[in-house]
Amino acid sequence: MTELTSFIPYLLQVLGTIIIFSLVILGMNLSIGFTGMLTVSHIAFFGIGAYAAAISFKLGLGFIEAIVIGTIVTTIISYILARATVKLKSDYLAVASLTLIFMVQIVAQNWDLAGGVFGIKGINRVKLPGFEISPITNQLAYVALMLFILAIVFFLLKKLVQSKFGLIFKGIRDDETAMQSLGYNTEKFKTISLIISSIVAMLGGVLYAHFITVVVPTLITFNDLLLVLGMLVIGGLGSLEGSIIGTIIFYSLPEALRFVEMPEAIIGLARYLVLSVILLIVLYIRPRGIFGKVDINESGQ
Amino acid sequence: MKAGSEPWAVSLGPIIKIKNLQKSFDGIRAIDNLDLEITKNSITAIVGPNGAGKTTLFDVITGFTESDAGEMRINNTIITGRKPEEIVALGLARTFQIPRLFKNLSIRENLLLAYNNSADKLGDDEFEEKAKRVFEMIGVSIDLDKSADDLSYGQRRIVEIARCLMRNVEIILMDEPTAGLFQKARESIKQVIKKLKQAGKTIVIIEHDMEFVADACEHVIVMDEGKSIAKGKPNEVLKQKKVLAAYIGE
Repeated sequence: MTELTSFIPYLLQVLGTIIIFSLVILGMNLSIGFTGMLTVSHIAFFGIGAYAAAISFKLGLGFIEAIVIGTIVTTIISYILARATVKLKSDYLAVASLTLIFMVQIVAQNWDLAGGVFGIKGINRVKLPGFEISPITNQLAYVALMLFILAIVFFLLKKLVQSKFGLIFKGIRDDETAMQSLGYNTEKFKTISLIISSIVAMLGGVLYAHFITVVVPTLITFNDLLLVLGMLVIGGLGSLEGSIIGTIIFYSLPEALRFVEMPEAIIGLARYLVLSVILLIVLYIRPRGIFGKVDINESGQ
Repeated sequence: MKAGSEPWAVSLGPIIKIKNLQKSFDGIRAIDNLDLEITKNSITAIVGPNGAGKTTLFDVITGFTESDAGEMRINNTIITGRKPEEIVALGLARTFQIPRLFKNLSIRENLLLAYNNSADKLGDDEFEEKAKRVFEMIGVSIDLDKSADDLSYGQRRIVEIARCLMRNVEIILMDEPTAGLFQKARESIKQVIKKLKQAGKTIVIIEHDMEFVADACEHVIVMDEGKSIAKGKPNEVLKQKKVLAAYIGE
């Protein structure tokens, strides 16, 4: 019985983390997989979302307000980023967008309101009426809320990529010059894609802050970027379903290591070893990722 | 009398008019004081050795490359310094040296992207009708659900032309439409180009195959080192000494 009561929170923890990662990956996939913009700034917007929620909480504002503030800030910053990098392609764009990750981290470390290097702790989980019986039911309710938000985002993104708008994104991904020759202002559509995808990643950050209840500057790290890119590539570029499946596989398989007895010193290493092996196997069998619609080396050319 | 006020007046003048066009890359003149006129509803070939500035000329006309000086007009509208999307909106389309299809998309999606930029309709009846008419016009039948990536090189060129025709275009610039094609595919491109003229379009092609030029084109403009060195009817122009010299490289 004690095993079960400790296993359920653990399972919810895994599920919640997968939901949060999924949002970041969905956002990245809209940029990289559907629009062909090799941007990694989504990690930064994830951080902006987390800090928007943490600072809102500190100022006595709620969950909805955090989403609104996060959306406004993300729209402004991603618009500036898009205008500044709109002429860049492939790896140049990746490097330029990478700088935003460090910028957000540095701002967070040096901003008093954001708690400096210690970050902001003790953020409340969103309490849903009727589920406040115990921490477990509350956690269950919050994970259900996150799942609901993910479902809405997934549905809206699905609608978007199936529309003419989505087709324009895919056209830009495949050949931006050809799109211009057909009369499209591709810079405008790339900007729109980047803003939408950044907002999706930002939502992951808001959910994260209320889920983990602690937001520190180191939450946005280079290692996480590699992890997130692995999830994206495994699931497949240009497939929303792939983003979810890739996240589940890439996050949950190394989790299984927890149940394997091994010296503590090598647990962290083993985790990365397993991730690398999964990545290699999947890409060997399916170079486009599990659900991928486009070749990885084709994107962002 | 002012030209342009009546519909017939427009058709008398050249549809593309270029004056004193200049473009240098790092001091090297790709286009050197070029004057050029393209007659409406004609097939004009632009020929010349590699590096003569032919593709640069297309890039400048379509706004992908900015010119240094000079003036360009389409139907009397000045297009110098305009963006590609503004220029193509005047009824201009182009194909590329290497066909630029959206390779992860189906042919239908490729055509749809060219059709009515603002419409948010997939599987629209009007679109299907237009696509059917375009392929009838060029006399080729093709399965629209095929992925663009599955097409042969020759088919890609034809679909790229079809994609141009999904828009309301008057002028089509084709950059080496027969390059890399076998005789049979070359022949079918030739037929497509002739049918486009019958349909009232103005076609400008960059071409290396002189037999093709002599057979399919009414006008030919010879470029060398960014200048227009000869123009006229293919049979007359291609015999000129300076044209041969430019090719042989004397």
